[in-house]
Amino acid sequence: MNRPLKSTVEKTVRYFFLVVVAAISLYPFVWVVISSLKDNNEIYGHPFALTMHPIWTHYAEAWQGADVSRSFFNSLTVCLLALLIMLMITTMASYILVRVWPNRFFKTYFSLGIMIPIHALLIPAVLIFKFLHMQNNLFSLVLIYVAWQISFSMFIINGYMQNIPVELDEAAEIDGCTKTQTFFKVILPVCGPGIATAATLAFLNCWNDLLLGLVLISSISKRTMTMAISALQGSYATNYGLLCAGFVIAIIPVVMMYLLFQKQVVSGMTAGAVKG
Amino acid sequence: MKKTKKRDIGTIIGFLFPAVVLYSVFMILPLLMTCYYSFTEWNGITAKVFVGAANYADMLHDRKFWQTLQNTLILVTFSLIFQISFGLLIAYLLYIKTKGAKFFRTAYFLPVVIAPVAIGLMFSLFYNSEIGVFNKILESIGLGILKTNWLSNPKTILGAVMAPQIWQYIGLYITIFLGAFQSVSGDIVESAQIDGANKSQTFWHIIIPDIRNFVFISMILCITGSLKSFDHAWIMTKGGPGVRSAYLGVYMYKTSFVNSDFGYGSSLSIIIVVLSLIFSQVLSHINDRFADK
Repeated sequence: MNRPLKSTVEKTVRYFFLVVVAAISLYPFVWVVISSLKDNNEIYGHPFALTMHPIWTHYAEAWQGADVSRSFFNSLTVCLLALLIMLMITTMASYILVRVWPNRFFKTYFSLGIMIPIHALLIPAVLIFKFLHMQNNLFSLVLIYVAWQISFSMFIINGYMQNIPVELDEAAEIDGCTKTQTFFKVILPVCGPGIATAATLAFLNCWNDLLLGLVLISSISKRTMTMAISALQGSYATNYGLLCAGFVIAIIPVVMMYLLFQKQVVSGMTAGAVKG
Repeated sequence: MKKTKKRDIGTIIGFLFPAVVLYSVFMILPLLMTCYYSFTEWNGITAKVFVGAANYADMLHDRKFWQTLQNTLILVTFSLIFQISFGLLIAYLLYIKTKGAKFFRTAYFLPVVIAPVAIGLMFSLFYNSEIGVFNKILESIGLGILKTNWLSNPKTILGAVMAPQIWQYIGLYITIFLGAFQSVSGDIVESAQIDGANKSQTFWHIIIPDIRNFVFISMILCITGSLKSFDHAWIMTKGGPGVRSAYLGVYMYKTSFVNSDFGYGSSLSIIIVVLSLIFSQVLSHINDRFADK
Protein backbone atom coordinates (compact mmCIF):
# COMPACT_ATOMS: atom_id res chain seq x y z
CA MET A 1 0.00 0.00 0.00
CA ASN A 2 2.78 2.33 0.98
CA ARG A 3 4.92 1.59 -2.03
CA PRO A 4 3.23 3.72 -4.74
CA LEU A 5 3.01 6.71 -2.39
CA LYS A 6 6.68 6.51 -1.58
CA SER A 7 7.66 6.28 -5.21
CA THR A 8 5.40 9.21 -6.12
CA VAL A 9 7.01 11.35 -3.45
CA GLU A 10 10.43 10.27 -4.61
CA LYS A 11 9.57 11.10 -8.20
CA THR A 12 8.20 14.51 -7.28
CA VAL A 13 11.30 15.39 -5.29
CA ARG A 14 13.50 14.23 -8.12
CA TYR A 15 11.68 16.27 -10.76
CA PHE A 16 11.55 19.29 -8.50
CA PHE A 17 15.30 19.11 -8.09
CA LEU A 18 15.92 18.66 -11.82
CA VAL A 19 13.63 21.58 -12.66
CA VAL A 20 15.39 23.83 -10.15
CA VAL A 21 18.77 22.95 -11.67
CA ALA A 22 17.39 23.61 -15.17
CA ALA A 23 16.15 27.00 -13.98
CA ILE A 24 19.57 27.80 -12.55
CA SER A 25 21.13 26.90 -15.91
CA LEU A 26 18.70 28.80 -18.10
CA TYR A 27 17.27 31.68 -16.10
CA PRO A 28 20.38 33.88 -16.26
CA PHE A 29 20.09 33.90 -20.06
CA VAL A 30 16.36 34.54 -19.93
CA TRP A 31 16.98 37.48 -17.60
CA VAL A 32 19.52 38.98 -19.98
CA VAL A 33 17.20 38.57 -22.98
CA ILE A 34 14.31 40.24 -21.13
CA SER A 35 16.56 43.00 -19.82
CA SER A 36 17.86 43.69 -23.32
CA LEU A 37 14.39 45.08 -24.08
CA LYS A 38 14.20 47.37 -21.04
CA ASP A 39 15.60 50.76 -20.19
CA ASN A 40 17.69 51.42 -17.09
CA ASN A 41 14.75 52.51 -14.96
CA GLU A 42 12.83 49.36 -15.67
CA ILE A 43 15.82 47.09 -15.08
CA TYR A 44 16.41 48.86 -11.82
CA GLY A 45 12.80 49.08 -10.69
CA HIS A 46 11.40 45.75 -11.87
CA PRO A 47 14.40 43.51 -12.51
CA PHE A 48 12.40 40.28 -12.63
CA ALA A 49 9.29 41.46 -14.48
CA LEU A 50 8.50 41.08 -18.15
CA THR A 51 8.41 44.40 -19.91
CA MET A 52 5.28 46.01 -21.33
CA HIS A 53 7.18 48.30 -23.66
CA PRO A 54 9.98 46.33 -25.26
CA ILE A 55 12.67 48.52 -26.78
CA TRP A 56 13.55 46.54 -29.89
CA THR A 57 15.76 49.34 -31.15
CA HIS A 58 18.38 48.25 -28.60
CA TYR A 59 19.31 45.48 -30.98
CA ALA A 60 19.79 47.78 -33.96
CA GLU A 61 21.72 50.18 -31.76
CA ALA A 62 23.95 47.51 -30.25
CA TRP A 63 24.56 46.00 -33.66
CA GLN A 64 25.70 49.31 -35.14
CA GLY A 65 27.43 50.73 -32.12
CA ALA A 66 30.75 49.70 -30.57
CA ASP A 67 31.79 47.93 -33.78
CA VAL A 68 29.74 44.89 -32.83
CA SER A 69 28.72 44.11 -36.42
CA ARG A 70 32.28 44.39 -37.65
CA SER A 71 33.61 42.20 -34.85
CA PHE A 72 30.88 39.71 -35.57
CA PHE A 73 31.94 39.37 -39.20
CA ASN A 74 35.63 39.37 -38.27
CA SER A 75 35.04 36.42 -35.98
CA LEU A 76 32.84 34.66 -38.49
CA THR A 77 35.40 35.03 -41.29
CA VAL A 78 38.36 34.02 -39.14
CA CYS A 79 36.57 31.01 -37.64
CA LEU A 80 35.15 29.69 -40.89
CA LEU A 81 38.42 30.12 -42.76
CA ALA A 82 40.37 28.45 -39.95
CA LEU A 83 37.82 25.65 -39.84
CA LEU A 84 38.02 25.03 -43.58
CA ILE A 85 41.83 24.90 -43.67
CA MET A 86 42.11 22.92 -40.45
CA LEU A 87 39.57 20.26 -41.44
CA MET A 88 41.12 19.82 -44.87
CA ILE A 89 44.70 19.34 -43.71
CA THR A 90 43.76 17.37 -40.60
CA THR A 91 41.61 14.92 -42.53
CA MET A 92 44.37 14.46 -45.09
CA ALA A 93 46.98 13.82 -42.40
CA SER A 94 44.61 11.58 -40.49
CA TYR A 95 43.94 9.51 -43.62
CA ILE A 96 47.66 8.93 -44.08
CA LEU A 97 48.32 8.10 -40.42
CA VAL A 98 45.34 5.79 -40.00
CA ARG A 99 44.96 4.10 -43.37
CA VAL A 100 48.12 4.44 -45.44
CA TRP A 101 51.19 4.78 -43.24
CA PRO A 102 50.46 4.24 -39.54
CA ASN A 103 53.48 6.01 -38.15
CA ARG A 104 53.76 6.02 -34.39
CA PHE A 105 56.03 9.02 -34.13
CA PHE A 106 53.71 11.34 -36.01
CA LYS A 107 50.65 10.09 -34.17
CA THR A 108 52.26 10.89 -30.82
CA TYR A 109 53.64 14.15 -32.18
CA PHE A 110 50.20 15.37 -33.19
CA SER A 111 48.63 14.27 -29.92
CA LEU A 112 50.97 16.46 -27.83
CA GLY A 113 48.94 19.54 -28.68
CA ILE A 114 45.98 18.34 -26.63
CA MET A 115 48.02 18.85 -23.46
CA ILE A 116 49.46 22.28 -24.29
CA PRO A 117 47.63 25.17 -22.60
CA ILE A 118 47.26 28.13 -24.87
CA HIS A 119 49.20 30.32 -22.44
CA ALA A 120 52.41 28.63 -23.51
CA LEU A 121 51.96 29.93 -27.07
CA LEU A 122 51.16 33.57 -26.47
CA ILE A 123 54.56 35.26 -26.28
CA PRO A 124 56.17 33.29 -29.12
CA ALA A 125 53.06 33.76 -31.26
CA VAL A 126 53.43 37.52 -31.02
CA LEU A 127 57.10 37.28 -32.00
CA ILE A 128 56.59 34.79 -34.82
CA PHE A 129 53.91 36.93 -36.43
CA LYS A 130 56.07 40.01 -35.98
CA PHE A 131 58.84 38.14 -37.80
CA LEU A 132 56.39 37.23 -40.57
CA HIS A 133 55.23 40.88 -40.79
CA MET A 134 51.73 39.82 -39.82
CA GLN A 135 51.17 41.96 -36.74
CA ASN A 136 47.59 42.96 -36.13
CA ASN A 137 46.48 40.75 -39.00
CA LEU A 138 43.37 38.61 -38.83
CA PHE A 139 45.04 35.94 -40.93
CA SER A 140 47.54 35.39 -38.12
CA LEU A 141 44.57 34.33 -35.97
CA VAL A 142 43.45 31.94 -38.70
CA LEU A 143 46.87 30.28 -38.80
CA ILE A 144 47.21 29.86 -35.07
CA TYR A 145 43.63 28.65 -34.66
CA VAL A 146 44.35 26.00 -37.31
CA ALA A 147 47.49 24.83 -35.48
CA TRP A 148 45.75 24.95 -32.09
CA GLN A 149 42.80 22.81 -33.22
CA ILE A 150 44.71 20.17 -35.24
CA SER A 151 45.47 17.87 -32.31
CA PHE A 152 42.00 17.44 -30.93
CA SER A 153 40.35 17.32 -34.35
CA MET A 154 42.79 14.65 -35.40
CA PHE A 155 41.96 12.70 -32.26
CA ILE A 156 38.28 12.73 -33.20
CA ILE A 157 38.77 12.12 -36.93
CA ASN A 158 41.34 9.33 -36.35
CA GLY A 159 38.82 7.58 -34.14
CA TYR A 160 36.26 7.82 -36.90
CA MET A 161 38.63 6.72 -39.68
CA GLN A 162 39.64 3.62 -37.75
CA ASN A 163 36.10 2.33 -37.94
CA ILE A 164 35.80 2.54 -41.71
CA PRO A 165 36.19 -0.98 -43.14
CA VAL A 166 39.48 -1.66 -44.99
CA GLU A 167 37.46 -3.25 -47.78
CA LEU A 168 36.57 0.22 -49.01
CA ASP A 169 40.23 1.07 -49.69
CA GLU A 170 40.86 -2.32 -51.22
CA ALA A 171 37.89 -2.05 -53.55
CA ALA A 172 39.01 1.41 -54.62
CA GLU A 173 42.51 0.13 -55.26
CA ILE A 174 41.23 -2.75 -57.37
CA ASP A 175 39.24 -0.23 -59.38
CA GLY A 176 42.54 1.50 -60.09
CA CYS A 177 42.27 4.48 -57.73
CA THR A 178 45.47 6.12 -56.52
CA LYS A 179 45.68 6.93 -52.80
CA THR A 180 44.77 10.53 -53.56
CA GLN A 181 41.69 9.46 -55.49
CA THR A 182 40.75 6.94 -52.81
CA PHE A 183 40.88 9.73 -50.24
CA PHE A 184 38.79 12.26 -52.10
CA LYS A 185 36.30 9.89 -53.71
CA VAL A 186 35.90 7.13 -51.13
CA ILE A 187 37.14 7.99 -47.65
CA LEU A 188 36.39 11.71 -47.34
CA PRO A 189 32.70 11.31 -48.24
CA VAL A 190 32.12 8.66 -45.57
CA CYS A 191 33.98 10.63 -42.88
CA GLY A 192 31.26 13.27 -42.79
CA PRO A 193 29.96 12.63 -39.26
CA GLY A 194 33.46 12.53 -37.72
CA ILE A 195 34.43 15.73 -39.50
CA ALA A 196 31.18 17.38 -38.41
CA THR A 197 31.92 16.58 -34.76
CA ALA A 198 35.45 17.93 -35.02
CA ALA A 199 34.15 20.99 -36.86
CA THR A 200 31.56 21.99 -34.28
CA LEU A 201 34.06 21.67 -31.45
CA ALA A 202 36.76 23.62 -33.28
CA PHE A 203 34.29 26.33 -34.23
CA LEU A 204 33.21 26.73 -30.60
CA ASN A 205 36.81 26.90 -29.38
CA CYS A 206 37.79 29.51 -31.96
CA TRP A 207 34.62 31.60 -31.62
CA ASN A 208 34.99 31.62 -27.84
CA ASP A 209 38.73 32.33 -27.75
CA LEU A 210 39.74 35.58 -26.12
CA LEU A 211 43.44 35.26 -25.27
CA LEU A 212 44.90 34.81 -28.75
CA GLY A 213 42.79 37.67 -30.05
CA LEU A 214 43.93 39.91 -27.21
CA VAL A 215 47.62 39.38 -27.87
CA LEU A 216 47.59 39.25 -31.69
CA ILE A 217 45.08 41.95 -32.62
CA SER A 218 45.50 45.56 -31.60
CA SER A 219 43.19 47.72 -33.72
CA ILE A 220 39.51 48.14 -32.88
CA SER A 221 38.38 47.49 -36.45
CA LYS A 222 39.95 44.02 -36.38
CA ARG A 223 38.56 42.97 -33.03
CA THR A 224 36.93 39.56 -32.73
CA MET A 225 33.55 39.04 -31.10
CA THR A 226 34.92 38.02 -27.70
CA MET A 227 37.11 41.13 -27.67
CA ALA A 228 34.05 43.21 -28.53
CA ILE A 229 32.17 41.60 -25.64
CA SER A 230 34.87 42.57 -23.20
CA ALA A 231 34.77 46.09 -24.63
CA LEU A 232 30.97 46.30 -24.26
CA GLN A 233 31.37 46.83 -20.55
CA GLY A 234 33.27 50.04 -21.15
CA SER A 235 31.13 51.31 -24.02
CA TYR A 236 27.73 50.73 -22.45
CA ALA A 237 28.61 51.02 -18.79
CA THR A 238 25.56 53.19 -18.27
CA ASN A 239 23.02 51.60 -20.58
CA TYR A 240 22.37 48.09 -19.35
CA GLY A 241 19.66 47.33 -21.90
CA LEU A 242 22.09 47.97 -24.73
CA LEU A 243 24.76 45.95 -22.99
CA CYS A 244 22.38 43.01 -22.71
CA ALA A 245 21.39 43.34 -26.38
CA GLY A 246 25.08 43.22 -27.34
CA PHE A 247 25.48 40.14 -25.20
CA VAL A 248 22.55 38.41 -26.88
CA ILE A 249 23.92 39.19 -30.35
CA ALA A 250 27.29 37.77 -29.35
CA ILE A 251 25.94 34.45 -28.14
CA ILE A 252 23.31 33.89 -30.87
CA PRO A 253 25.64 32.00 -33.28
CA VAL A 254 26.77 29.45 -30.71
CA VAL A 255 23.29 28.99 -29.27
CA MET A 256 21.88 28.43 -32.76
CA MET A 257 24.67 26.04 -33.56
CA TYR A 258 24.12 24.21 -30.31
CA LEU A 259 20.40 23.79 -30.90
CA LEU A 260 20.85 22.73 -34.53
CA PHE A 261 23.84 20.42 -34.12
CA GLN A 262 23.38 19.35 -30.53
CA LYS A 263 24.50 15.81 -31.17
CA GLN A 264 27.80 16.88 -32.75
CA VAL A 265 28.44 19.60 -30.18
CA VAL A 266 27.87 17.26 -27.28
CA SER A 267 29.88 14.40 -28.74
CA GLY A 268 32.71 16.78 -29.66
CA MET A 269 32.89 18.36 -26.22
CA THR A 270 32.72 15.08 -24.38
CA ALA A 271 34.96 13.17 -26.82
CA GLY A 272 37.99 13.71 -24.62
CA ALA A 273 36.35 11.85 -21.77
CA VAL A 274 34.41 9.27 -23.71
CA LYS A 275 37.17 8.02 -25.98
CA GLY A 276 40.25 8.88 -23.96
CA MET B 1 48.54 -3.06 -43.53
CA LYS B 2 50.30 -3.64 -46.83
CA LYS B 3 53.75 -2.31 -47.49
CA THR B 4 53.61 1.19 -48.86
CA LYS B 5 54.27 1.43 -52.56
CA LYS B 6 56.75 3.83 -54.02
CA ARG B 7 54.19 5.93 -55.82
CA ASP B 8 52.37 6.46 -52.53
CA ILE B 9 55.33 8.21 -50.93
CA GLY B 10 54.50 11.38 -52.82
CA THR B 11 50.94 11.25 -51.51
CA ILE B 12 52.10 10.55 -47.97
CA ILE B 13 54.43 13.54 -47.96
CA GLY B 14 51.97 15.79 -49.74
CA PHE B 15 49.10 14.89 -47.41
CA LEU B 16 51.09 15.15 -44.18
CA PHE B 17 53.09 18.23 -45.09
CA PRO B 18 50.56 21.04 -44.52
CA ALA B 19 49.45 19.74 -41.11
CA VAL B 20 53.01 19.02 -39.98
CA VAL B 21 54.25 22.47 -41.01
CA LEU B 22 51.42 24.53 -39.49
CA TYR B 23 51.36 22.45 -36.33
CA SER B 24 55.13 22.56 -35.90
CA VAL B 25 55.49 26.27 -36.58
CA PHE B 26 52.51 27.52 -34.58
CA MET B 27 52.22 24.94 -31.77
CA ILE B 28 55.45 23.06 -31.08
CA LEU B 29 57.93 25.79 -31.97
CA PRO B 30 56.15 28.33 -29.70
CA LEU B 31 56.18 25.81 -26.85
CA LEU B 32 59.93 25.32 -27.25
CA MET B 33 60.47 29.07 -27.51
CA THR B 34 58.52 29.60 -24.29
CA CYS B 35 60.72 27.00 -22.57
CA TYR B 36 63.81 28.86 -23.75
CA TYR B 37 62.49 32.33 -22.84
CA SER B 38 61.69 31.08 -19.36
CA PHE B 39 65.44 30.94 -18.76
CA THR B 40 66.04 34.50 -19.93
CA GLU B 41 65.42 37.99 -18.74
CA TRP B 42 63.79 39.92 -21.52
CA ASN B 43 61.38 42.80 -22.05
CA GLY B 44 60.76 42.06 -25.72
CA ILE B 45 62.84 45.01 -26.94
CA THR B 46 66.40 44.87 -25.62
CA ALA B 47 68.59 41.78 -26.04
CA LYS B 48 67.67 38.60 -24.19
CA VAL B 49 69.92 37.79 -21.24
CA PHE B 50 70.29 34.13 -20.34
CA VAL B 51 69.78 33.88 -16.59
CA GLY B 52 69.46 30.13 -16.04
CA ALA B 53 66.82 29.16 -13.53
CA ALA B 54 66.69 32.65 -11.96
CA ASN B 55 63.06 33.22 -13.01
CA TYR B 56 62.02 30.04 -11.28
CA ALA B 57 64.05 30.97 -8.20
CA ASP B 58 62.36 34.38 -8.17
CA MET B 59 58.99 32.71 -7.97
CA LEU B 60 59.87 31.24 -4.60
CA HIS B 61 59.76 34.67 -3.00
CA ASP B 62 57.26 36.31 -5.31
CA ARG B 63 54.19 36.93 -3.17
CA LYS B 64 52.02 37.51 -6.22
CA PHE B 65 53.00 34.13 -7.60
CA TRP B 66 52.01 32.36 -4.38
CA GLN B 67 48.78 34.31 -4.16
CA THR B 68 47.77 33.45 -7.74
CA LEU B 69 48.90 29.84 -7.32
CA GLN B 70 46.77 29.62 -4.19
CA ASN B 71 43.77 31.15 -5.99
CA THR B 72 44.24 28.68 -8.83
CA LEU B 73 44.43 25.72 -6.47
CA ILE B 74 41.32 26.92 -4.61
CA LEU B 75 39.53 27.04 -7.96
CA VAL B 76 40.79 23.53 -8.78
CA THR B 77 39.49 22.26 -5.44
CA PHE B 78 36.05 23.85 -5.67
CA SER B 79 35.70 22.83 -9.31
CA LEU B 80 36.46 19.23 -8.39
CA ILE B 81 34.06 19.25 -5.46
CA PHE B 82 31.12 20.91 -7.18
CA GLN B 83 31.49 19.87 -10.79
CA ILE B 84 32.29 16.22 -10.23
CA SER B 85 29.84 15.58 -7.38
CA PHE B 86 26.93 17.57 -8.83
CA GLY B 87 27.73 16.12 -12.22
CA LEU B 88 27.48 12.59 -10.86
CA LEU B 89 24.39 13.31 -8.80
CA ILE B 90 22.37 15.03 -11.51
CA ALA B 91 23.48 12.60 -14.20
CA TYR B 92 22.34 9.75 -11.98
CA LEU B 93 18.93 11.37 -11.46
CA LEU B 94 18.57 11.73 -15.22
CA TYR B 95 19.73 8.18 -15.77
CA ILE B 96 17.16 6.46 -13.56
CA LYS B 97 14.15 6.42 -15.84
CA THR B 98 13.46 10.10 -16.00
CA LYS B 99 11.03 11.41 -18.56
CA GLY B 100 12.31 14.47 -20.38
CA ALA B 101 15.95 13.57 -19.72
CA LYS B 102 16.76 14.97 -23.16
CA PHE B 103 15.23 18.35 -22.38
CA PHE B 104 17.07 18.56 -19.07
CA ARG B 105 20.37 17.63 -20.65
CA THR B 106 19.89 20.27 -23.36
CA ALA B 107 19.22 22.86 -20.66
CA TYR B 108 22.16 21.89 -18.46
CA PHE B 109 24.62 21.84 -21.33
CA LEU B 110 23.71 25.24 -22.80
CA PRO B 111 26.05 27.35 -20.64
CA VAL B 112 28.97 25.11 -21.63
CA VAL B 113 28.98 26.31 -25.24
CA ILE B 114 28.88 30.03 -24.48
CA ALA B 115 32.09 32.07 -24.50
CA PRO B 116 33.56 32.28 -20.99
CA VAL B 117 34.04 36.00 -21.48
CA ALA B 118 30.31 36.39 -22.16
CA ILE B 119 29.48 34.42 -19.02
CA GLY B 120 31.84 36.68 -17.10
CA LEU B 121 30.13 39.78 -18.47
CA MET B 122 26.72 38.39 -17.60
CA PHE B 123 27.71 37.70 -14.02
CA SER B 124 29.31 41.08 -13.59
CA LEU B 125 25.84 42.45 -14.38
CA PHE B 126 24.35 40.19 -11.73
CA TYR B 127 26.94 41.30 -9.18
CA ASN B 128 26.49 44.95 -10.10
CA SER B 129 25.71 47.03 -7.04
CA GLU B 130 23.18 49.21 -8.90
CA ILE B 131 21.08 46.72 -10.86
CA GLY B 132 22.62 43.55 -9.42
CA VAL B 133 20.20 40.67 -9.33
CA PHE B 134 21.95 38.90 -6.47
CA ASN B 135 21.45 41.75 -4.07
CA LYS B 136 17.78 42.04 -5.13
CA ILE B 137 17.25 38.35 -4.52
CA LEU B 138 18.87 38.56 -1.09
CA GLU B 139 16.69 41.54 -0.26
CA SER B 140 13.51 39.83 -1.39
CA ILE B 141 14.14 36.75 0.74
CA GLY B 142 14.88 38.87 3.78
CA LEU B 143 18.64 38.49 3.77
CA GLY B 144 19.23 42.13 2.93
CA ILE B 145 22.06 42.33 5.45
CA LEU B 146 24.15 40.05 3.23
CA LYS B 147 24.00 42.59 0.41
CA THR B 148 27.45 43.60 -0.69
CA ASN B 149 29.42 44.83 -3.62
CA TRP B 150 30.46 41.35 -4.67
CA LEU B 151 33.29 42.30 -6.99
CA SER B 152 34.96 44.83 -4.72
CA ASN B 153 34.48 43.39 -1.26
CA PRO B 154 37.80 41.60 -0.60
CA LYS B 155 35.97 38.86 1.29
CA THR B 156 33.68 37.94 -1.58
CA ILE B 157 35.72 38.81 -4.66
CA LEU B 158 37.47 35.49 -5.21
CA GLY B 159 34.31 33.47 -4.67
CA ALA B 160 32.39 35.83 -6.93
CA VAL B 161 34.93 35.34 -9.70
CA MET B 162 35.03 31.55 -9.31
CA ALA B 163 31.29 30.88 -9.09
CA PRO B 164 30.38 31.64 -12.75
CA GLN B 165 33.11 29.39 -14.03
CA ILE B 166 32.10 26.48 -11.82
CA TRP B 167 28.43 27.04 -12.69
CA GLN B 168 29.16 27.21 -16.41
CA TYR B 169 30.81 23.81 -16.77
CA ILE B 170 28.70 21.61 -14.49
CA GLY B 171 26.63 20.70 -17.56
CA LEU B 172 29.70 19.28 -19.25
CA TYR B 173 30.23 16.79 -16.43
CA ILE B 174 26.52 15.94 -16.20
CA THR B 175 26.65 15.03 -19.87
CA ILE B 176 29.85 13.02 -19.61
CA PHE B 177 28.52 11.07 -16.61
CA LEU B 178 25.11 10.53 -18.19
CA GLY B 179 26.90 8.95 -21.15
CA ALA B 180 28.97 6.92 -18.71
CA PHE B 181 25.93 5.63 -16.80
CA GLN B 182 24.25 4.69 -20.06
CA SER B 183 27.32 2.66 -21.00
CA VAL B 184 26.97 0.48 -17.89
CA SER B 185 25.44 -2.83 -18.96
CA GLY B 186 21.95 -3.32 -17.59
CA ASP B 187 22.72 -6.99 -16.90
CA ILE B 188 25.23 -6.43 -14.12
CA VAL B 189 22.95 -3.90 -12.45
CA GLU B 190 20.07 -6.36 -12.63
CA SER B 191 22.05 -9.31 -11.36
CA ALA B 192 23.29 -7.20 -8.43
CA GLN B 193 19.70 -6.34 -7.57
CA ILE B 194 18.68 -9.97 -7.85
CA ASP B 195 21.47 -10.73 -5.38
CA GLY B 196 19.73 -8.33 -3.01
CA ALA B 197 21.73 -5.12 -3.39
CA ASN B 198 19.71 -1.98 -2.76
CA LYS B 199 19.90 1.18 -4.84
CA SER B 200 22.77 2.84 -3.01
CA GLN B 201 24.77 -0.38 -2.81
CA THR B 202 24.30 -0.89 -6.54
CA PHE B 203 25.40 2.69 -7.18
CA TRP B 204 28.56 2.59 -5.06
CA HIS B 205 29.67 -1.00 -5.62
CA ILE B 206 28.57 -1.73 -9.17
CA ILE B 207 28.02 1.44 -11.15
CA ILE B 208 30.77 3.72 -9.83
CA PRO B 209 33.58 1.16 -10.24
CA ASP B 210 32.29 0.49 -13.75
CA ILE B 211 32.56 4.14 -14.77
CA ARG B 212 35.81 4.81 -12.87
CA ASN B 213 37.63 5.74 -16.08
CA PHE B 214 35.11 8.46 -16.86
CA VAL B 215 35.42 9.87 -13.36
CA PHE B 216 39.19 10.06 -13.56
CA ILE B 217 39.23 11.60 -17.02
CA SER B 218 36.62 14.12 -15.90
CA MET B 219 38.81 15.01 -12.94
CA ILE B 220 41.74 15.56 -15.30
CA LEU B 221 39.58 17.72 -17.57
CA CYS B 222 38.33 19.64 -14.57
CA ILE B 223 41.82 20.28 -13.17
CA THR B 224 43.54 21.18 -16.42
CA GLY B 225 40.56 23.38 -17.36
CA SER B 226 40.84 25.24 -14.05
CA LEU B 227 44.61 25.66 -14.41
CA LYS B 228 44.05 27.40 -17.77
CA SER B 229 41.46 29.85 -16.42
CA PHE B 230 41.67 33.39 -17.67
CA ASP B 231 38.56 34.81 -19.30
CA HIS B 232 36.08 34.96 -16.43
CA ALA B 233 38.50 36.64 -14.05
CA TRP B 234 39.84 38.93 -16.74
CA ILE B 235 36.50 40.42 -17.70
CA MET B 236 35.12 40.66 -14.18
CA THR B 237 38.06 42.11 -12.25
CA LYS B 238 41.18 41.98 -14.44
CA GLY B 239 42.50 39.88 -11.57
CA GLY B 240 42.51 42.86 -9.26
CA PRO B 241 42.82 44.52 -6.89
CA GLY B 242 46.51 43.65 -7.31
CA VAL B 243 46.31 39.92 -7.89
CA ARG B 244 43.60 39.30 -5.28
CA SER B 245 41.30 37.60 -7.78
CA ALA B 246 43.90 36.53 -10.37
CA TYR B 247 44.74 32.97 -11.37
CA LEU B 248 48.12 31.89 -12.71
CA GLY B 249 46.85 32.44 -16.26
CA VAL B 250 45.86 36.02 -15.47
CA TYR B 251 49.13 36.73 -13.69
CA MET B 252 51.04 35.29 -16.63
CA TYR B 253 49.13 37.54 -19.05
CA LYS B 254 49.63 40.62 -16.88
CA THR B 255 53.35 39.93 -16.40
CA SER B 256 53.92 39.36 -20.10
CA PHE B 257 51.66 41.81 -21.85
CA VAL B 258 51.04 44.55 -19.31
CA ASN B 259 54.49 44.68 -17.68
CA SER B 260 56.38 43.38 -20.77
CA ASP B 261 58.34 40.93 -18.65
CA PHE B 262 58.53 38.18 -21.27
CA GLY B 263 61.10 36.08 -19.44
CA TYR B 264 59.20 35.79 -16.17
CA GLY B 265 55.89 35.52 -18.07
CA SER B 266 57.27 32.55 -19.98
CA SER B 267 58.37 30.81 -16.82
CA LEU B 268 54.84 31.29 -15.43
CA SER B 269 53.37 29.64 -18.55
CA ILE B 270 55.77 26.76 -18.13
CA ILE B 271 54.53 26.35 -14.55
CA ILE B 272 50.96 26.07 -15.89
CA VAL B 273 52.09 23.42 -18.40
CA VAL B 274 54.04 21.49 -15.76
CA LEU B 275 51.21 21.58 -13.22
CA SER B 276 48.76 20.28 -15.84
CA LEU B 277 51.12 17.45 -16.72
CA ILE B 278 51.78 16.52 -13.09
CA PHE B 279 48.10 16.47 -12.12
CA SER B 280 47.08 14.41 -15.15
CA GLN B 281 49.97 11.98 -14.78
CA VAL B 282 49.28 11.44 -11.09
CA LEU B 283 45.58 10.89 -11.71
CA SER B 284 46.12 8.47 -14.59
CA HIS B 285 48.59 6.63 -12.40
CA ILE B 286 46.06 6.31 -9.59
CA ASN B 287 43.46 5.18 -12.09
CA ASP B 288 45.80 2.48 -13.41
CA ARG B 289 46.47 1.32 -9.86
CA PHE B 290 42.73 0.79 -9.41
CA ALA B 291 42.58 -1.13 -12.67
CA ASP B 292 45.25 -3.55 -11.44
CA LYS B 293 43.30 -4.46 -8.34
